[in-house]
Amino acid sequence: MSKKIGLALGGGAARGIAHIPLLEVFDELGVWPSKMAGTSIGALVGASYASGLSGAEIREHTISVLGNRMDAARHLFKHSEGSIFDLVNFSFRKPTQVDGLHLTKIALPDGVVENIEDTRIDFSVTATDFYNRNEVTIRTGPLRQAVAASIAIPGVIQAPNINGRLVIDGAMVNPVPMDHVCDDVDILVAIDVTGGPVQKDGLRPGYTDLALGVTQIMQHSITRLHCDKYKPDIYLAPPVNPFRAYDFLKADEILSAGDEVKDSFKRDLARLLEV
Amino acid sequence: MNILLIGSGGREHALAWKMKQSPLCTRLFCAPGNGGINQIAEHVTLDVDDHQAVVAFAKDNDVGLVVVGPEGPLVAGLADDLIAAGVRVFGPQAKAAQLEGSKGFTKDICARYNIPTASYGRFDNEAAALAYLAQQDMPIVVKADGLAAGKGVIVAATRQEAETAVKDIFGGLFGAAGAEVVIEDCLIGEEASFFALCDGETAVPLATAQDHKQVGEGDTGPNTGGMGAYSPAPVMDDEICRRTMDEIILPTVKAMKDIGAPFKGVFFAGLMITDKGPELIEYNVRFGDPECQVLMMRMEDDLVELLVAAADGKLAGYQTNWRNDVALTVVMAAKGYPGDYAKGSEIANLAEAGAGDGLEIFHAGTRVEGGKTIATGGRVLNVTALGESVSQARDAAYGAVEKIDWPGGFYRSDIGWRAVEREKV
Repeated sequence: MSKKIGLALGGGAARGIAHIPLLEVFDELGVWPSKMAGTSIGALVGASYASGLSGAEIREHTISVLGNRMDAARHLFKHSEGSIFDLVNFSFRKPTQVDGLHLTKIALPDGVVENIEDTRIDFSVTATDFYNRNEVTIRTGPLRQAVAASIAIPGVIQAPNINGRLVIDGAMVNPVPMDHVCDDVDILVAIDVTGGPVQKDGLRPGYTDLALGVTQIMQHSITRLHCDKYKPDIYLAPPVNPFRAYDFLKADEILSAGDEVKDSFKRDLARLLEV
Repeated sequence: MNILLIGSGGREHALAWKMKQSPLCTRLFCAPGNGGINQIAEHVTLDVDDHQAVVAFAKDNDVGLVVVGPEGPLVAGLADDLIAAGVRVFGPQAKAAQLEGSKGFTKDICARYNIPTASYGRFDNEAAALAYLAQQDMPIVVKADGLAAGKGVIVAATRQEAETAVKDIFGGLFGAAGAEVVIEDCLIGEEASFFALCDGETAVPLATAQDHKQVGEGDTGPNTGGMGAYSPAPVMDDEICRRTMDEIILPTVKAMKDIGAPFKGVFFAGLMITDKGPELIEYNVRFGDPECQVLMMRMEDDLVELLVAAADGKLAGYQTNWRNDVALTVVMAAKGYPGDYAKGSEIANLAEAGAGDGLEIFHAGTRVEGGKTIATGGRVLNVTALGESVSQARDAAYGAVEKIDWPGGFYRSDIGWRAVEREKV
């Protein structure tokens, strides 16, 4: 019998598109995680994969939704206030609130199951309870609603109420939820797409880059502590630093960043499966 | 087109017999063949393990299609090496042949693609096994994972029996074999086989069959390669066949494509027809033996055309056609099989026994020497007949069996009993 794999897909907004090539590795090896957990974009991408779609199908869907700017704009804002340019030109000074649940309806391809408990791979979604200031791990109930909560980036995507609680982006408490998939597995894989600030030509960061950058720094601290405690067998950070949180229209380039580490991931995973 | 057939069993004799009927077949070579095949095909001495030798033969003899009968060469990658050399081959490449070669691989595919099969869990401690049991329906199968001389399998009717079995195994009842426990759903129903051709993208249903694995009358005694079979399987009605395609075969085609190992060849799905519908017991990646013999008797299409279409990825638009007749085959084996048996006994009166329409005697372990047919293996002959019903096909097959003069052989006299019972009702 094959070894059991636990897979944690981290948050990182647009940078999480880099998860997709790494999911293709499981398909190509013909082995699949026995449990998965996702935070934010990791929950969004993970929901499709846990439902049974292949990595290649998720890639194809992502390109079809985001590959063409005009198509993407039409998709994203057909039923929302504001325009696509508010999202891709995001600034804390001019916040736009996209309806998270609506976003999941566009972002999740056909074939995603209704309820979390119906996913083919045991799946959990990590989010943050805003007023209680703690983590919420969602294991049952409507999958789209859970994902909408997990991706509710403050000020950008409107957070839903779940059972009377205001639930926002899980990356605020648990950016790479490896602790939810480490029990009863032989191989723990953590994929971190948090990214971090990159200096550009000696320029000082603007207000928005500063605000996002400090969040990334705090998220790295949390992830480092989790790595020390849960010791993932494979910790992967695809080269996504150059991409901003809202670079959804650079899907092609972010996929390439994932492709860059795909082969080494495949080799490492194959080696661990053989031992 | 020249064709090279690899194999030496009754299955390959039936394939050779069917392919010889095709106008597309010019010369038919067979390696290593047997006493029956070599009467209709050109015998070739080839080391099938030496893939480059097979490639060289194919190239030297202008072979347009290689058909691999048994699973061994497929798992060993013969199809891969032929394709790499530009030789057309019917049969999956090694990675796709894992469907038969690795049970764990197939179980993983089933879980990922929602293919109905017995669900199972594997445990190295009592607490986890009991926790799993608490969530399962009874009856259930509890197995000591290691070798336990066949005693390590308990079919538990009640939860209490199952829990006792788990505790016994971890308590050391089977010694080291009980270090791990496998708990598997107990599939209850009737077993049947379903066959489908696949070109990597498109799967086309073939037909159904049922076989008799055990050596003794009434399905008793040790397992064999198969003592007889018949087609179609009455339990496989149109609805069950449709569900088998939709729920088992097509998701598998997609899975194999997704993992970069598109399946080109024949799916031989071993099924249990439960009250929920068809569930997969196991996959084989080649025609069954003796199921192939009954399938070939019933097939109306040009087998060569179908195999070429599968190899070339051009099955889309094909459908297969089958005689309404039932085909039934009785295996004659050397006395002692599946244990020790003597080789070299003479078989007489084959020509007379095999005369007549709708009757074929396919050879398995035979050699022809100076006009005499000599038994050289365990399973030796497949006496195969067509009839309008299972009973008629059975009577025709046994009529021929009784004419064969082979004191060194034996056969089961109840092949098809379940289907015959069904006909009486």
